[in-house]
Amino acid sequence: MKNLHIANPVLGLLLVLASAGMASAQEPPTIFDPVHGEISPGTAAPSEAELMDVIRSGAPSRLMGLLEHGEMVECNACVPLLEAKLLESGNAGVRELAAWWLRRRPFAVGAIMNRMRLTLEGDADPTRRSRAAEALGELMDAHSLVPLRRAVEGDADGAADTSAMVRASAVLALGRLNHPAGNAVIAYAIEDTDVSVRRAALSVVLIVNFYREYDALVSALGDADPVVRRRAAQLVGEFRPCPPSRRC
Amino acid sequence: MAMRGWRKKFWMGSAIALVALASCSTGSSSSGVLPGVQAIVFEQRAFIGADGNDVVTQGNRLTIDYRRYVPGGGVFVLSPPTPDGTLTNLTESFAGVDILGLDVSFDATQVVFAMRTASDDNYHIYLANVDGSDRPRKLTFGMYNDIKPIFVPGDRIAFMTAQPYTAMGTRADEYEHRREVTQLATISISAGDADRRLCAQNLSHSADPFLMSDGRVGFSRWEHLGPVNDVKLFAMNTDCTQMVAIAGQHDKPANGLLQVQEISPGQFISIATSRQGTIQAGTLVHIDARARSGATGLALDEQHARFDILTPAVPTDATSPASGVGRYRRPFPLGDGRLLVSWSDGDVNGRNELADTAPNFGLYVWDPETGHRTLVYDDPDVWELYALPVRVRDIPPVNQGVIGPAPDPTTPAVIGSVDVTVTSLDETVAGGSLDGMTLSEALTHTRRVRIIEGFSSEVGAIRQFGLTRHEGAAILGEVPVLADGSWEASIPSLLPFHLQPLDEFGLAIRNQLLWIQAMPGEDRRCGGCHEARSGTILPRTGPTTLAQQAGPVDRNIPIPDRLELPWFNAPAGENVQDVFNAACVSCHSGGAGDPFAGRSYTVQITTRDGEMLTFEIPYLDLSERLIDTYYEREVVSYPASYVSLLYPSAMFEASDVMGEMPPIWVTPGEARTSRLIAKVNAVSEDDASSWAYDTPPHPEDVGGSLTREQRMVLIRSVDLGGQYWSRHNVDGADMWRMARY
Repeated sequence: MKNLHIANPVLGLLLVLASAGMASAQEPPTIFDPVHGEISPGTAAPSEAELMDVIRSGAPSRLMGLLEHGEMVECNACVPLLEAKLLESGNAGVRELAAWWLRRRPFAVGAIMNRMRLTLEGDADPTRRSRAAEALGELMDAHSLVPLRRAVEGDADGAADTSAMVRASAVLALGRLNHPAGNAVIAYAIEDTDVSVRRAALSVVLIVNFYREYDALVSALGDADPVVRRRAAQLVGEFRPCPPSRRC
Repeated sequence: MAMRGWRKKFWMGSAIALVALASCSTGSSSSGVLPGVQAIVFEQRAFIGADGNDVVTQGNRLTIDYRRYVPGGGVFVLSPPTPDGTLTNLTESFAGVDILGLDVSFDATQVVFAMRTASDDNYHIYLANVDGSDRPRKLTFGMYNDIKPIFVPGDRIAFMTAQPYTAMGTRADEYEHRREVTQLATISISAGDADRRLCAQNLSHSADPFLMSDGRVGFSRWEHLGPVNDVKLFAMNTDCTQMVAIAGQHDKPANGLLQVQEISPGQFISIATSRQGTIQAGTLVHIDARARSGATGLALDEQHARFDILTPAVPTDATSPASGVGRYRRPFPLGDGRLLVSWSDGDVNGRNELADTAPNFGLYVWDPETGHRTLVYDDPDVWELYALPVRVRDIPPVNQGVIGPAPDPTTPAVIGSVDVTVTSLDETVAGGSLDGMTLSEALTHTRRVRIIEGFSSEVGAIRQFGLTRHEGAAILGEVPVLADGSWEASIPSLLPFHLQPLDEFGLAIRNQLLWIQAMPGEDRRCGGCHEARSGTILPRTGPTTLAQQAGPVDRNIPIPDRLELPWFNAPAGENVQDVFNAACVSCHSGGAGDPFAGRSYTVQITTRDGEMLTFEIPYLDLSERLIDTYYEREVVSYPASYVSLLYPSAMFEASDVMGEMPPIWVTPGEARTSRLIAKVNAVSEDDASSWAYDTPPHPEDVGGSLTREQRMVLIRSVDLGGQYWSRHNVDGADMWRMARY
């Protein structure tokens, strides 16, 4: 049996150089490795113990930075702790970076997605359902399309979520997912009964690819909410959709 | 804003102490801090939320903080610039104000600033009179943030914007899936959005533009390309052409160089700090980018830029400084050697978050002779930032490119080299037929230059591009290098690219880990492959290169025509897996004839429920069999070929891996040193019997065969970064097949 400590010589070199740089903080480190190109100062990967320590008790920005630098650190024990952050952290940035790190764990992400789906579909707490929807978006896997769509529209397997907060989070997650099949759901949400959902839907129209559901935008020009009307007008101006009655 | 009790007591005590300290250390009163300056303009940013608590964490993560909207700020003129001077609020008529960057016009009569208000979802550019007359005029109106404006010659304003560029939006690296990275743009003062011009894209944020005395715009740029992840200094013309590096590409004292200002041609003052976690504050560093020898006139040499840390007690990372040391933000050179700075005592890092107490930035003059700060102004309930003296300054030369209509974004650009064999990089090449050669010697073997377009997960719903840190990649072409070492190609403008010189075996000799880009119609010819900046590279054969005489190779091709290398699930014939299926799986799929049959290692994951999941990864299995990560209908992971080839290089510190680990089959971005490529070997484009590695080619050594093109699929895939996803196998690939740009 062989335990792998530093499987990647490139990253191992990174660690060595970064450690040398840290030993003398005021001496500018040499950061150009002739074989592997540039090595950026201050981005040395943390140890598993450092990661665990900061996940448990670190400041949010420290945790976010360390997760980014620990992108390729295999830390089994970090997985459940970060999964808990997805639902329990009050800091949106921490939840986002926790999901960012977890989606790089090809052998862990399936189980996490499954639990997020179950939380979205069955948890009694709308805040947890909302964060589960958000996490499904951040995990960036197309398999989340179905539960997110269900939360917004409902389908044969379940009704739409009764909480506007959850529906709004699901719409934002669909924007994050950026799946072509999500565009129709976003359009559907532009006509949601709750204004927060309608606003959320309009906020993601520009960040998904190939949005073509122009009718929903035109309809929103008559919305009761002035913010919705303004955003819809801006989007119509951006896309300049051609009315069906005209040749453009 | 009312001063809260404890804060007021602290402020009063601190003010007395600071004035006393200033008097002690400088021998002058604060009223004489800025002789000859009648007024300063600065922004105040709130850090106390509506609930009365400090807002600490927002904006702390990144180099720029446009996601930190805390209403309660404004643009202020202080006249005279003393703690008891008169304050004029130029944004008083707006509610819910937050400001993100400002500048004073050349004639010192106007202020341009970025503001978000209670009635707006984004930051936009505004113009106001310094004397406070008339209501500020809004110049931009889009559904995206426009921030950090500066005046530039030609009656224009340069700034950063998160405006999407194309149907694909703005390229954004994997850290920025919101697709909201900021890029440079300009508007005219008179027309605003009606004359809006976007500059070429980077894959990450650009930040903090500043005007240089030669009329160019300097800026910080977050560079993310494979293992590179930091913030460097760049410059460009005001028409966005000739985007070049200035400092930080080869060496620097911290991860980020931010909030830079020019002191004199080639010399700059900057904040050096970690890219995140210090609220954009750090140590003061002097940068000298002037070429030391060999240049006539002023030349900048980013390879040999020198850095002198002026405040050595301030950490260059996110660690806490000693009490009284604090951190600095945006230094502005006053012309007499002193700097107008923002400064806060305390940690100015994550410890502020843990204590739920924001730092307090105030305005000071920092004297390099004594190292002392002298207070100019500080309201302890808000931050004072980006202070500038209100005084007339010279207008640098106007770039002719900003005169006339905006360029057509569909017009291609031309890139190339005069002589690709010329380099100033002191490196050694590893692997293949060039193993052990100096880069300079190896580059004489360059046959082609590979042009690689960069994009990111804005292409669709993917968790990442695979088990690699590299972004999405497409090859525009592998352009021949002519007999004099020159090459040229026309390419789509505005997009980010990087280059790889190739040997006769198709292996990259070096991987340029820096994004380059060009504007519509721009010609960007390098001297060589990172030639010395202090010299001039002349064509070997006459006044023009052979490539110039031949004209650029047309690689201005639409997205569907660019070569992408999806690993699996793209149409047949496009996948890397197709090569394995055709020539490798008969032996390498775990069957009886597989030399690695039965060899594997395991990865264990403990779920939050305490369940132990064990995944077995084959030592080498090149089949498309899916590695068993199928879980409760949710996720199907990568084929065995991808996991067994990429996993060994993807993770480290993997104490949860047990069993016999294979060698690093693939080093993403480096086919030349990858075991997979050395094993299969690479064949010359000239001579089918000439091989890159001394070992026998495989599978020919066991009776099989691979064509050169099949080998090139593997080489290209590894040189690009070992990505699994491309626009050809992501959901929505059919849409990408119809997209042009």
